[in-house]
Amino acid sequence: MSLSRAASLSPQGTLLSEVIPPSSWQKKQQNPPLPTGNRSRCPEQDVSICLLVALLQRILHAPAPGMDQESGAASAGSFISLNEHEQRYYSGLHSLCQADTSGQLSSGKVAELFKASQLPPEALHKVTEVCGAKRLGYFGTPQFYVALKLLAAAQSGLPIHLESVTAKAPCLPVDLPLPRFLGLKNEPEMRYSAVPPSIDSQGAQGGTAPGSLSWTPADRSAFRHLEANAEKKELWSPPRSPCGSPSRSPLTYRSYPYTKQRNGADSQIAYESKHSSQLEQHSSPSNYRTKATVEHPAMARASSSERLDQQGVVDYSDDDPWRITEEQLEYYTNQFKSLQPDLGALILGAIAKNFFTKSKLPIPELSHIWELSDVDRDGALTFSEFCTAFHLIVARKNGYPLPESLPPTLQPGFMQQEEDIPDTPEDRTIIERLQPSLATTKQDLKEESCKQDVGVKRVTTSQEKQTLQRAFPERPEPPHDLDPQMRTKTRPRSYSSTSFEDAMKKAEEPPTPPPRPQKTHSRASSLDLNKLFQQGAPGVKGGWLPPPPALPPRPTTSQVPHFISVSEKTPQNKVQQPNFADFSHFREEEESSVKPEEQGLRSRFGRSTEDLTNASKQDMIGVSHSQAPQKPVRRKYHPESQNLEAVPPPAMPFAPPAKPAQKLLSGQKRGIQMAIRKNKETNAVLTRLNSELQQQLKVVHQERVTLESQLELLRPVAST
Amino acid sequence: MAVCIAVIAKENYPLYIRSVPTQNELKFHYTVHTSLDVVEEKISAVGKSLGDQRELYLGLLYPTEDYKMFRKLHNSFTDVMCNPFHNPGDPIQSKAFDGIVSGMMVQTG
Repeated sequence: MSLSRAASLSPQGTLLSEVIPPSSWQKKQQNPPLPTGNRSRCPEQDVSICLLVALLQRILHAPAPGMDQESGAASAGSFISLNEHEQRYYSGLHSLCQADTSGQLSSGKVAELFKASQLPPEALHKVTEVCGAKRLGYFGTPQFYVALKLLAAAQSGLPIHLESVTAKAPCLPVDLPLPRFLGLKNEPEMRYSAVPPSIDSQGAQGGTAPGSLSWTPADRSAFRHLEANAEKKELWSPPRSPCGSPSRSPLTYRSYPYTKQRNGADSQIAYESKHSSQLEQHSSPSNYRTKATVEHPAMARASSSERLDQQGVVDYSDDDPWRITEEQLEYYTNQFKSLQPDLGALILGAIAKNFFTKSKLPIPELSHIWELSDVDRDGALTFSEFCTAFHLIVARKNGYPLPESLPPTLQPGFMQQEEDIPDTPEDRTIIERLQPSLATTKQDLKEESCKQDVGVKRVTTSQEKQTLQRAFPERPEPPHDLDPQMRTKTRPRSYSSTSFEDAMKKAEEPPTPPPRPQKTHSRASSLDLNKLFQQGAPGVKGGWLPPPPALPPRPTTSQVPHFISVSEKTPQNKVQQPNFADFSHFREEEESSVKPEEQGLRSRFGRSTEDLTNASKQDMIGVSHSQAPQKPVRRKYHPESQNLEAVPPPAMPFAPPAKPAQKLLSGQKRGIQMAIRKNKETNAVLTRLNSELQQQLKVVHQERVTLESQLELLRPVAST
Repeated sequence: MAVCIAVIAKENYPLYIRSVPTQNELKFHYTVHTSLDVVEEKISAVGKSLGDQRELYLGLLYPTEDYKMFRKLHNSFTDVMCNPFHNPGDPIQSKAFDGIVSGMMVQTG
């Protein structure tokens, strides 16, 4: 008996292990039909084998019309390869759909099955179209099989296209999980496929296939991490193992045969498809790895693994980069909490700025992102605004150009819709999703209330915004902004305005007149020196005595009073000069020959300037001596006539490291600065004086001219 | 409606200026500059009495029908200022602001 059973099994085994392209089904038909009469002895196995047999019969006796039509089927010349599990499964489903003798499946049942796959209707239509049933008007077996394969592809997140399921396409991961259907009534195959036989090696191959064309190696590494986590998960929760790992089975290149099988078994729990789709979405827009995000998605998955709910809202067939997936949402939640523990509160603008600046995007782009996401224009980010902003940053980092306006999926209304729809289970799932991430019930309550607050806020923001904006231009502290929310909003405004004022004040400083830096700039002494040297007549240079090199290199404080005394002299000179000028003026009038007086004036003036320049030069010399401690060597060796060149260079390298005379130096610096200031004042005074004297000169000249003319007029009269 | 729109900073330099390009822009720029004198007049008159509760919004310098325009402009200006990434004193580079301003400008060919 056992032998016969074995014998009966083996042809089946061979049959099933072969790749069965539809075109070769006819061949199979030629094979002797399986021994139907083989009723095996052991009960469970007998039953299972019976079923298997039945299935195989169905497959093999698939009617010819189905075969003929399959050439015209949408397979378009290429055929699907089904591995044995898929074969089994599909045939089971095929039987479920009650194929009648003509081979057409009852459309009602097929529709039911498709609905049970939990795919959106557009996807289902597409599947129907692609598999050729639409064209034919009914589901034949090949169409059905193609359709099932497409469903599996769609549930794994691959696009619904023939190439996804044909063996020839390089992007096909051969180990697509079996399509999952919710709530199917007769699922004997489930039990059968629950037995985890060894997987063919195609699993490994399929994984390495670049089915993840759109995924970067970074994602793979991320997935590796996730796998590692998944392995851990597997250890502690075998019944929960369908959670993170199996969804990734088509995506990873390490095959997890057991989990896959169990995944197929637990087809009622269809959220893995969600996972895979989310993974795809997660990979494409959010490759944001700068902040150890690898762990976060893993954590997210760990928490999401506890969700055993129905399929979520996410329309993964869209592959919309602007849609926030759950993992991203959780990651953003965590980040928000790191900045502001209360999810319902606002993040202030400055805090958000520091945070987003870490993303190293250029400031204008960050500014644009802010504009897009701060919808209520309050200078602070609510949780949803924060998510929006974060998502935009992530997208931008992945190379997506910034939109001009908020995409609809990122608008706060969208998030709100998700939350506010009470009837759908999605709302509950979202709340439940966030529950494990928050991990405390208190926070759940808070969060729900926060969500409501946020919703309320949003509703009232438009009104408040108007009142706020009306209030702001008027500026008096708002009489009508008494709501606490308004206060929170005005607070950021006032904060920003104070910072604005501060910034303005800072901006005011640069336009102030330039003389200021010169006072502190000790190097300016060298410039002044140059100017003075140029101003001075050549005689001055000659008359400029080189300072005795015997002077001590460290000018004592006695030199400082020396400066002061010198500078005091100059005002005296100034005082003397007006008298001097007047005196000369009188003298000029007496003599009536102006030229020598002018010269005298000039010479006196020159002398006075000489005095001054000498005095100031003495200052400078003192200065240069005060510079001596920095460069005593140079002072000694360079003759002062070369001081012109010497002074600038030592002035330049003006930072004497580790000189003990630095205190003295600072004192001298101050002295020098004082001296410089005084010299400048005297300069100014002198120039004024100069101009006045010039004017007087002109006046006097005029008078002289008139006098001379009168004289000439009078002379002939006198002579005659 | 408007031929030229300018936002002048406190230090009397323009943060933002835009005019309809077909006209001779320099004239407009001069007008803007001279209007600053009017502003200064008003400020000096008001500032003494109120102290720190200064009215920043001096109202329209000349009664025109464009008060809505000014309000809109001012609103968008405050939005720009609210942006934490915007340094006050920088020229205004916000696209939203640009959009609003172009909406307010003359829509001739």
